[in-house]
Amino acid sequence: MQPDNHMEELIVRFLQREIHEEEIRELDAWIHESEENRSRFFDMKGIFDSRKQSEFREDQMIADSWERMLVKLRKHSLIPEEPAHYGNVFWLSCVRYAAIVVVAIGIGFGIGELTGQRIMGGETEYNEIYVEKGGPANTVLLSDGSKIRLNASTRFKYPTQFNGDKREVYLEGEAFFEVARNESKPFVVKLKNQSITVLGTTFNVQAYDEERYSITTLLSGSIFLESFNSQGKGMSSLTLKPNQQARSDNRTGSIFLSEAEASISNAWVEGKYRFKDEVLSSIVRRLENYYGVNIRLAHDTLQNIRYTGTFSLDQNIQEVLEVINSEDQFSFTVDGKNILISARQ
Amino acid sequence: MPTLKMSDPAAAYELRKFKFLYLEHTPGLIFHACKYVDRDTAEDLVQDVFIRMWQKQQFPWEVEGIKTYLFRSVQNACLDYLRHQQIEATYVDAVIRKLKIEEINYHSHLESLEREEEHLASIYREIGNLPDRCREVFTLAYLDDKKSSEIAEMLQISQRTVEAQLYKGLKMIRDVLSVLCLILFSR
Repeated sequence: MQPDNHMEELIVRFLQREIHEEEIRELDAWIHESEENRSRFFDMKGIFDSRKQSEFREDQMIADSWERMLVKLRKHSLIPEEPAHYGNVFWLSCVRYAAIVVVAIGIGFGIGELTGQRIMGGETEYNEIYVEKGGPANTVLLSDGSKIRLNASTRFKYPTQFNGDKREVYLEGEAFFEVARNESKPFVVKLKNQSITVLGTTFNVQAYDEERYSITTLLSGSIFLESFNSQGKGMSSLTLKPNQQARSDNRTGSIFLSEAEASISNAWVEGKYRFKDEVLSSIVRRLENYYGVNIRLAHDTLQNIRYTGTFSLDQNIQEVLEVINSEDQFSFTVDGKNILISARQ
Repeated sequence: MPTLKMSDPAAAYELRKFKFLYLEHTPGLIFHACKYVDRDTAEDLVQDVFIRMWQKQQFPWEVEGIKTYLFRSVQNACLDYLRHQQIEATYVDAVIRKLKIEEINYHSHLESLEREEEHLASIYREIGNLPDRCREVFTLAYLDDKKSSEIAEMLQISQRTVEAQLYKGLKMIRDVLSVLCLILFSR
């Protein structure tokens, strides 16, 4: 065996962390034989180590890291402890009203698929509409002429009349808004951890309660987005331009802004839904809502499969999963409403 | 030491700026520190650098300045950590630690992580230019984090062949990058 070939193997074994004691002794000696050896070794290590870089750019990882940073700053008394305050108040009161309601008025889009409730909250009279998981999308017309399309698994609350200086509505789930313009009375959508203020515009909001991020996509006009952390403290705010998408972290309150093809976000309004380079874990959560099924991923590795494609709500869930799985990366079994997806061995 | 009341809008503004800096720079810094220390330690060291900066309330705000400052501080923190890490279970660990210290010194002429992104993009591009077999092996190790023995089994070739192909890939990429001066001036 040529000595140089042998060193090549040792370098690779070192980088792959498969090196033995005798070998590392040899490698160490070789590295220090010459300047050329030394730079060859460190350059190659630099190239190989770069493979981990993208892991560190995950939004969630960065946001979590900042949370830990805040904990440290508080521990060192470099920033004060902060009491929870505004942001959650409206939402909590809304939930409270919902809890004491005794009269439920079905609006009649098929039994059990949609429920509407009339709620008295102080001076203001509210309607609350709930579209069930797997239920068909539904349109609500508000007294100011705004049109709101509600997707499956969505709760929407709005006043029967817009008194006061704002038009405030509450959303949990996904909806597409076409807001009638009224400069003197801003339209405000309250989410659990965000608040969206608009004058007159079209935009899509995806804010499911169990999701880490709420996604707001603007099609036209402009909107002002405020984001709160899980303690209800205001964290960030920004103005969106058309074809921008804001991902707000419901825990930390950070907002990540990106350019987006806005038509993807509201394709569901036309009975279609689209995924663009979306990870399987998030795809299955959307499918659960659209089809009213429970999907479980048996293996963690499945979470990272990415998929881009368009489907129609007419297609059945089995068909959809087969298309997503065109590369045969997983297998699935359907048992009534329960679907189990397993990794291919 | 600053005492802050968050009701004070100026203080809240400082914290927002600080957060912005943190979100902007930590991914690269933690990644870089991870070459030398474990991941939790890497985050700790980087956070300590930020805490010191916050305590002083002196941020070198111009973009170039802060990049260099952060990068150097993190390099030094890693070096310090490695030097004071005493216990070594095995001889292999001892050599690895010694080589890490040398590696930091090797990169000490670097100004910042400025080129790290560019570096990565070029590596991806050059992986695409590798000969077929070499690229196949290299991708499995580099992107899928597979060990040589696993790759050997998957592709039904010997482990030696895998190692030879990996080396060949590394060498070809290094050759191109050093022409582009992306490998940082091997003197």
